[in-house]
Amino acid sequence: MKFVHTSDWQIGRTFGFVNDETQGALQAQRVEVVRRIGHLARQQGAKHVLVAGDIYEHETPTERTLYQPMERMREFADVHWHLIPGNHDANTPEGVWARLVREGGVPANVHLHCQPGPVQIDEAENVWLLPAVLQRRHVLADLTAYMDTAPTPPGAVRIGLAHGSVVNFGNNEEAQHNPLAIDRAQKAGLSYLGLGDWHGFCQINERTCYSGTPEIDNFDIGRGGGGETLVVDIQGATAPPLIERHKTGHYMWQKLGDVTLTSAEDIYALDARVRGIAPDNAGAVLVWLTVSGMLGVEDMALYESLITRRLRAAVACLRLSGTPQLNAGLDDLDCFGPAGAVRRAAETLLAQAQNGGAEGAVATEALQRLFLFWNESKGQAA
Amino acid sequence: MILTDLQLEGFRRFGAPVRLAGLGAGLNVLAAPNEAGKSTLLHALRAALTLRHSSKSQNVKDLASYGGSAPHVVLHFTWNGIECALEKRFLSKTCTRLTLGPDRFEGDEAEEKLRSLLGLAQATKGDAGLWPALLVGQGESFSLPVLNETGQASLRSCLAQGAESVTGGAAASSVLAKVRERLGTLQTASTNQPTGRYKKALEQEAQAQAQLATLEARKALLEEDLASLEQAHRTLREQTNPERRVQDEGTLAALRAERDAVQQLEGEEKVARANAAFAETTCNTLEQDKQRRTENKAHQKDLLQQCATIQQALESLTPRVQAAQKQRDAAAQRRQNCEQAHEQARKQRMFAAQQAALLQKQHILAREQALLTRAEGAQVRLEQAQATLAALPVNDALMQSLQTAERTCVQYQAQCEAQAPKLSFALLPDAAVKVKVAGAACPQQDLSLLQETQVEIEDIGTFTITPAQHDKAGLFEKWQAAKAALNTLLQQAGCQSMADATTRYAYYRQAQEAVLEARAAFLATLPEGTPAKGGAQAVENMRKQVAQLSADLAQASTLLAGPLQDAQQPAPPTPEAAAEVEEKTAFAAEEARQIERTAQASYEAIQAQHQSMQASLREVEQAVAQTQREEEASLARRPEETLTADLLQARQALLIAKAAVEQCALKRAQARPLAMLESSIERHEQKLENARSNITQLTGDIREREARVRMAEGDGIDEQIAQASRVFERIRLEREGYERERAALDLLQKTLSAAEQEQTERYLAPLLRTMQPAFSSVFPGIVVSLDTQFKVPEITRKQTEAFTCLSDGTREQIAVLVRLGFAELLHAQHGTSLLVLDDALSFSDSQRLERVFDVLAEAATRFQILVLTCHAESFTALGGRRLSLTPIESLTELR
Repeated sequence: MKFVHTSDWQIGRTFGFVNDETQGALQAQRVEVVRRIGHLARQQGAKHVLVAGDIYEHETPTERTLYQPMERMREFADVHWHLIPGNHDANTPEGVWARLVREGGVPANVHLHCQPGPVQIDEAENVWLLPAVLQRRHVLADLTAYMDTAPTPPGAVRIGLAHGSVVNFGNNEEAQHNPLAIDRAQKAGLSYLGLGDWHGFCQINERTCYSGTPEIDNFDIGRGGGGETLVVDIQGATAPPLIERHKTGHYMWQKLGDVTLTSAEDIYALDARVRGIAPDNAGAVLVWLTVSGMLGVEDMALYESLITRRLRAAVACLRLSGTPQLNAGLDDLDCFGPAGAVRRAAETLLAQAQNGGAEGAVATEALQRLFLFWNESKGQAA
Repeated sequence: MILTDLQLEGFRRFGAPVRLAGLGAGLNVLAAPNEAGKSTLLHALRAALTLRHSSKSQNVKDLASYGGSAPHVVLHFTWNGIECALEKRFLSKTCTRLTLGPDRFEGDEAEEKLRSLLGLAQATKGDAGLWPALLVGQGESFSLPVLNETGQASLRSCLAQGAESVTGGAAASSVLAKVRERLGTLQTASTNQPTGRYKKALEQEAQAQAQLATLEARKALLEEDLASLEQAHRTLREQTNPERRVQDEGTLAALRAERDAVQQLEGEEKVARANAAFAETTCNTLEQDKQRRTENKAHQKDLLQQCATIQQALESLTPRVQAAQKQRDAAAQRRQNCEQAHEQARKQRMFAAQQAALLQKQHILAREQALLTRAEGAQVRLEQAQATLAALPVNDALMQSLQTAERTCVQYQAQCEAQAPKLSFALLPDAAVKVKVAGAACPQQDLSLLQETQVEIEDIGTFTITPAQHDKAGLFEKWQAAKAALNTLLQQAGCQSMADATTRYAYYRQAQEAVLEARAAFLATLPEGTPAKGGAQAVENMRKQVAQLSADLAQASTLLAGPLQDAQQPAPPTPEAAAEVEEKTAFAAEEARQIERTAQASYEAIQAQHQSMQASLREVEQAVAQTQREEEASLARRPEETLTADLLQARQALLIAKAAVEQCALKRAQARPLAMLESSIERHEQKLENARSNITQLTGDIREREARVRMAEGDGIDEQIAQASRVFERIRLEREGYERERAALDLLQKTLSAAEQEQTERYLAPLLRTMQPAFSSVFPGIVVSLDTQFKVPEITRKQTEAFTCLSDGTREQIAVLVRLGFAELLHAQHGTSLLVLDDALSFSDSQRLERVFDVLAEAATRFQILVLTCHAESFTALGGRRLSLTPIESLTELR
């Protein structure tokens, strides 16, 4: 029995730090990855795709968002898609699943599991799915507990599917909501327990795995990985599952903290580092830089040009936190001449900038702009 | 730069060639009357120096002469000792030719060379730099020069060269302009209010925030709907639970059964209480009956005693009633007698009064008849006098016409005689009888010859003298016509002559007097207040009044005749005596009526007392009969023995009934109160009803909330909120970016402005030093300040005064001195300069003007100053070269 395990599609998610164009592209890829998963299932000969919750980002998505994943799954009629609710799309009375059912928007090859209890998904191989169903966004009980006693025919392959946080895994704070027993697979005699909620791939034990989101949606997904889908092969009720990780994500999200710039070399190195994330496809890179350091007048101009303009245009998203400070001294003011109004103004601003504080920050920015205007004037004069 | 020759043609009024003769170094003055062409000269000079020959601008078109020929100017000058010449022609056959010493330039090359010479190489096309401030046109001297960037740059150039260590001024302006331009995209220049991208970001942020708030409110509503929906579903399930319904209905049935039992118990108690009440009533009735019989007997005895007392009183009252009746009848008889006597006396008094009134009317009638007779006689006399007056022909009008005609006649006669030849006779005493004139004796005095006159001299013969007529014929005819008119009037009056007419007119006046007297007499006979023309009507009224009085008298006589005929008895008394008798009889009658009323009252009082006692007796007798009947009836209904037995039986029945009531009350006290049971039943019924109602309401509520939830679902509220949050956050970041940029630019602008101000003040010092001597000469003790635009914002003498608050004359003087300062600065830096003033200083007083002249004359020792004025006398004191406009045959072209 071979099946695909995925979760946390989060269809309809928005991204506040990107422009409208990138926002649309990111959202489109979150839908498009469903097709890639379908193709992966076909390619791997898997008849079933188990989706461990959080198919949708919101409880009340727009109609287009609601039907988009359903219509993508409908395209793969030979694949059975098994979905359970997650904390983002819990099975509330008027929730997204009730809405889909009410509207008749669920294709025949898509199976919503909104009640706990064993469901046979493959008669030939006697495979039973035991879904844990979140009826609310957050619960304090372990919804997989019933699996311990849930009856299935002898020799059945029992596959658990749940959404939540396993406890005693260094995540006590997270596990306060929707807790899952770390040894549930063993207690309930499960051949495999597919989990959702964590967006990075994480194998808890031999039979318990978080697949992670198939398309990364954050710079910090907690436990690495992301952008992957699992193909699980179970050769018998008691045999250990064979788990393969397949990359399905399109975008690469990279967070570079503590980037300190003090020279032109640092700036060039930063530029090369970011472009090196995907040398052939910089447009698929989203990068978040936390920048600090001190730059001279010339280097500051280089930073503005190379990083904030050119590099920003090269990647899908360049998110900047912090900025290098202008490290100007009286020598740097020589470009304004030995005297004159501009020189005098620059000296005043430099003194204010060196005093620090909020006013110093404004003075620093004013001084930077004075350099820019001065250079523009010189350029025009030339 | 020293102008040495200026020739022009085709400029405005100068269609023909003309030369400004006499130009040279120093001070040059052209004093010429208005419309002599001074301003045109200045425009020509400006055009030559600052306008390109190829220009087609309106400024150039405005220069064209009134005859339509193309503006053409030739200018000779020296520049730092080099002889130069410039020729320009505009609009038609345009050209520019420039010679600088041995060098010669033409066309655009000449233009560029000229602009370079004038310091305008960097200026844009059409930009004249500082020169408009030095070539001052008519009316421009009143205001401070407004310098554009090029003009300011020229001055700064001069100042920067003069002020060491000052650099970057133009660069600062350039940077500051860029800063302001950039800042202007974020905030308005005047009020610093957000504008452009920043304002848009603020507005978008507010909109996004509002949108987000709206969506979150909708989300909150949705969540409330969802919670309420869940609650409603839960409640509905509870309400529709069948077990609970059966339990509620069973409780209600048990309560109803208990209520029925309590109601039955209450019925039984009610019956027992009714029985007890009946027994008590029976008992009371019988006891009352017994009590009544005893009381009735005592009452009957009292009534019989009252009957005896009343009958005794009646018997004593009857004789008093009869006596009172007799007394009343006697008084009535006496009253009738007195009233008859009074009636007789009243008739006597009325008869006497009627007789007296008849006699009064007879007297009035006689008096009125006498007055009428007198008036009628006066009226006849008046009519006679009027007839006499009417018969006289010479009245006032005719007499006036006659007198007028006579005067006319006499007037013409006098005129004829005055113009007629005079015939004088001087005869010997014996000859007088021998001479006759016109058949009469010879007159002693001169004779006017009005017509042909014969002079007959005895023994001599007859002379006929015919006066010459000439132009006297007309006058004579007028005289004759006047005489004929007079005679005609006399004939109309029936008079022979004017004397006769005068006599007749005197008669007429006498008749008039007679009429007036007769009219006065007639009016005197009429009643007072009669108008002068109402005499006849008054007489007629008097006649009617007499007739009326006669009729009234006749009628009164007829009415009185009856009583008079009956009065066979002695003559009636006088009215006064009759009235006295009537008064006495009336008094007697009233006295008799009073006595009768007193007697009647006494009789009625005693009669009433009698009747009252009779009525009381009847009432007491009836009461006695009534008590007797009641006693008989009671005994007939229930004999005395029976009554006693019934009373005993009733008292026993009452005791039994009260015991039954107490038994029922005890049972009721052990049961729950009926009101409580009823309330409980009602509460349970209400509960069931509420449940049914709740189900209906909940169903509707669920439907309604579900519809809202569906709508919110369809809108994708969560996704919209996420999207709106994202938009809001993006705009917020954008707005914060603008605010940072704005703060930085604002700080940069202020810092740069302050630095530029500081530098400007430093480098303006040479200009102020240059200008200060001239200012001190004209305005002793003055301190002038300049701003960065080279304007004078204020001056300080005894106190600081804003430039705009100064008088017109002072402002003009200051403006001229500032321009002079510019020229001085230019000269100091470049060694050459020029100042032209057209019609300036017209508002200066003589003392101030003298000082300004001193300043101009002193400055003219360094550079050329050209003054154009129409005030020749005022500017005589200025001195300098006297210029004149001289027609020439043609311009000296630079070929």
